[in-house]
Amino acid sequence: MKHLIQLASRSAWNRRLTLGLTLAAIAFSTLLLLGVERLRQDARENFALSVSGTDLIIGARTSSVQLLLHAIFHIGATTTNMRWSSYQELSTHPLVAWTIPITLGDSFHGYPVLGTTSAYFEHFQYGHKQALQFNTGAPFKQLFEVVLGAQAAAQLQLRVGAQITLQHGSGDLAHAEHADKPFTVTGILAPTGTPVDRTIHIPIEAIEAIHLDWQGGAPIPGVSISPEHVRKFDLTPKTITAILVGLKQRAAVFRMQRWVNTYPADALIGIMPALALDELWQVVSVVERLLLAVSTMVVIVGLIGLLAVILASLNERRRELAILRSVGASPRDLFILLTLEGLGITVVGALSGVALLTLLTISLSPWLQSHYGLVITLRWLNMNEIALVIGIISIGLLASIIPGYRAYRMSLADGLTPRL
Amino acid sequence: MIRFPLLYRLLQYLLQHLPQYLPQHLLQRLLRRLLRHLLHHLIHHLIHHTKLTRLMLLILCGGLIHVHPGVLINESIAGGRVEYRVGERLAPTKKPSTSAFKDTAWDDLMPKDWNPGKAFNALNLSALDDADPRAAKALSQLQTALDNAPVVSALNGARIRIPGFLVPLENQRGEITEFLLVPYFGACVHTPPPPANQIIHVFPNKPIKNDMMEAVWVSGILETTRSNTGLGAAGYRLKAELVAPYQR
Amino acid sequence: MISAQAIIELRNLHYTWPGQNSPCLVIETLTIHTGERIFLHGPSGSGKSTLLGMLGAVHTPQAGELRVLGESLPTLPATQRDRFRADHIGFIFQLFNLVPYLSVIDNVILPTHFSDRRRKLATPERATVEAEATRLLTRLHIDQHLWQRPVTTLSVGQQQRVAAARALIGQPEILIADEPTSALDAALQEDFLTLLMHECATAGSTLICVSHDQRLAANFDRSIDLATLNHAATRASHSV
Repeated sequence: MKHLIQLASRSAWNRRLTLGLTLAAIAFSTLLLLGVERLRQDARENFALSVSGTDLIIGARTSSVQLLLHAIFHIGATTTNMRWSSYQELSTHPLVAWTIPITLGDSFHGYPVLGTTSAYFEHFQYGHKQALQFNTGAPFKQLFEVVLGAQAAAQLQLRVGAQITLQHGSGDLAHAEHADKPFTVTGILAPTGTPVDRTIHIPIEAIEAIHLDWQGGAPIPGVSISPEHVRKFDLTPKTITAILVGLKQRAAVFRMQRWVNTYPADALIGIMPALALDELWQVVSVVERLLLAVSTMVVIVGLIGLLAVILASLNERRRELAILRSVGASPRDLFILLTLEGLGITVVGALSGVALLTLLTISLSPWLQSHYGLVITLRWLNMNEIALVIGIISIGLLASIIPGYRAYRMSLADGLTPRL
Repeated sequence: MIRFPLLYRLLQYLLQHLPQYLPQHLLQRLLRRLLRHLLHHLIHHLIHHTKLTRLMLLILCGGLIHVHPGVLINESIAGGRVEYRVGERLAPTKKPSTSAFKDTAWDDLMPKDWNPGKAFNALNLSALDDADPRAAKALSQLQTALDNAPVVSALNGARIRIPGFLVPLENQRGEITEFLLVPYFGACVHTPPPPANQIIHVFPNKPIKNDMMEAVWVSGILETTRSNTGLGAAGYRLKAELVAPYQR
Repeated sequence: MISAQAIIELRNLHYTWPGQNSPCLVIETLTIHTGERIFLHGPSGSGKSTLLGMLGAVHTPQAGELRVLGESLPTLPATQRDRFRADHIGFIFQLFNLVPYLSVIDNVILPTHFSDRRRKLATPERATVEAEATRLLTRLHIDQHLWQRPVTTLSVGQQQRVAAARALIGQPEILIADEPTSALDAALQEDFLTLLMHECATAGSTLICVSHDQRLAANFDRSIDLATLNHAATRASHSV
């Protein structure tokens, strides 16, 4: 057997140009399949780690997935807001332990601005019930103060004490700026691996303050209220985007949800984050499965290429097979020889794909993190990915059996004198 | 296949129970394929004079059969997704619990003398006008009674085994570390919520995989908690030692 | 040295190619003794290659007796026939004798991969197979600087001599050569045969050489005309 392996590798090396191309095909298709699978899993993990310890998220009545995406991931926009009075009544409900009101809408160089209270830094949790930590500084106390997420601070190179002005509206377009009301950075949060890292946090009254002299998305011409004078106005928000709620008894969540959904004074919806996330995955899973199917098809195409190359070479190798038979190789040896070649190329190709995946992870993960907030960790293959690699190799083995079998039959028919 | 009933049954058992311990359904499918491969190989190797030709053809046929998974081994054995209807309850098992946990029904979690519908049933509905505010008031009173349902304090510390539907509370990395157990399907979405003594707040001692575990058997130590909400309602908590999928 | 012992015995042999109606080989009797040097000649179509395949344990006759080294070849199962060929028979073909992606040395030691007997005989006193290969190559006038070269860089004459070394390694009892000199220049043909026979004599192997070139017959102990030996061929030629 050892000499058969040696023969197979020498023979493959002799045809390294064509076989090398099919090896590259297999490597890239493996990379595609594993990459899709890994991205999918990492994205799910990232999403799932973004909220913890929150029993309900309450907002204006919309779809649960949309509320989740907007309130936690700051993706999309809410069409309407909920009333401040609803928040006030809710926070005094006997079942409620704590509430965090949040408002979204502004941005700063593409990073979303979140208006909230100090309750955010006390009660918000992520991952496995982890609380937010400060790298430097402290939560905001004054009106025009801001706390930055770890990544926002790093990318924008801001430190405690720096001054920034916010832009109206979300997105990267150069919007009108609230240039007359600068904010001072008082704290920078420790990295969490969640959307918090990319968020700019300001007091919820500050959202009102900077929009006092604005109307419909632009400053009112001729009116300008200076930062010192804003405090003369009532800065209590009229509407907010959503509330994060923690209950005294988690099992009471259904009751609370019903209370929110049937609240007469406002059109509200209360969602359970874990369930809303499951809903999101159900929607996404169709696409995921499609991607997986396409990637598998690509792998099969690569293996068919390998099969074609080896089969095409068989005809020229009839003389060689006859020689091997004459020195004592049995037809079964020749079957093993040809199968080993195909299998060897598949194995090397699959392992090269894994190596490529590692390389790509190392080079792309900083970019992915800074642009999409997606954290791809460098890690060993998990069970699922190993199963995929084994699947690729076994399909390669099945495919390699075909030229092996042909060689077997050919050598039987030809004997020592092939008809060339 | 009939010649090796033991082997077949062993494989059937493996395929039935293996999936719950595997992370993804993809891995399950691949392992199923491999096991079927082995089955093919085993059986036909045991038949004499397997020439190489025939063996090759058989392996290739085995490979093709994978395209039609239902042919050889029934797909449902290996645990496909089961659909439940809203409001559906789980039937009590035919096999009694053999472990140290006592099989408990959801009715056992309600005190025997508790009758929240008493006031409601006493109402003579036919004597009321349409949209009578008394009817709505009675209904909301009923709802309040359900919300403040008492617990059976004798069950505090009991080792129980109970089937129910899983509503995740904490779901990290595809693993559930905290969940609520309710008696009927769809308790969170459509139907009115269950009374407070029909919800169990479960803490599994090992995080459980999220896949396809809607109906589960939970075994563990039940605790009754005193309420601190001021509304007078208490509840059940359970430290689960075992969470297993519910098979119809 | 020819001994009286028969190394190959054929009796009433019939062989028909699969799919053919009439037999290709019909031989009443043929005996070859140990150490003989046989020259088999005949025109194309007289069944030379088929007979060689028969003797080489590749094809099985439909009827008749075929004993090689005392073993009745047709009764052996296929795997044992392959092992028999590996252990006891060395082959030389007319052209393309060598595996193109292996070096000269690797080609020569090929038979030792498939035959334990030949590997053991090629490695006396714990020498390596490569040492034996180099010894044979030297005796067949292949220079040292050629040994690691890929075989495609050698001339035809050199390739044939390498093939002879491969056929001889491990001292197989029978050497079968199918038109070994037909691709060589006339001047080299005699030299090659002389070398080959010398080595066979040293190893004590029996040589069976097939060729259409009658001029070579003089070098051999016995010359067999396959056209007369093979009744199927004579029948065919008579019926024409």
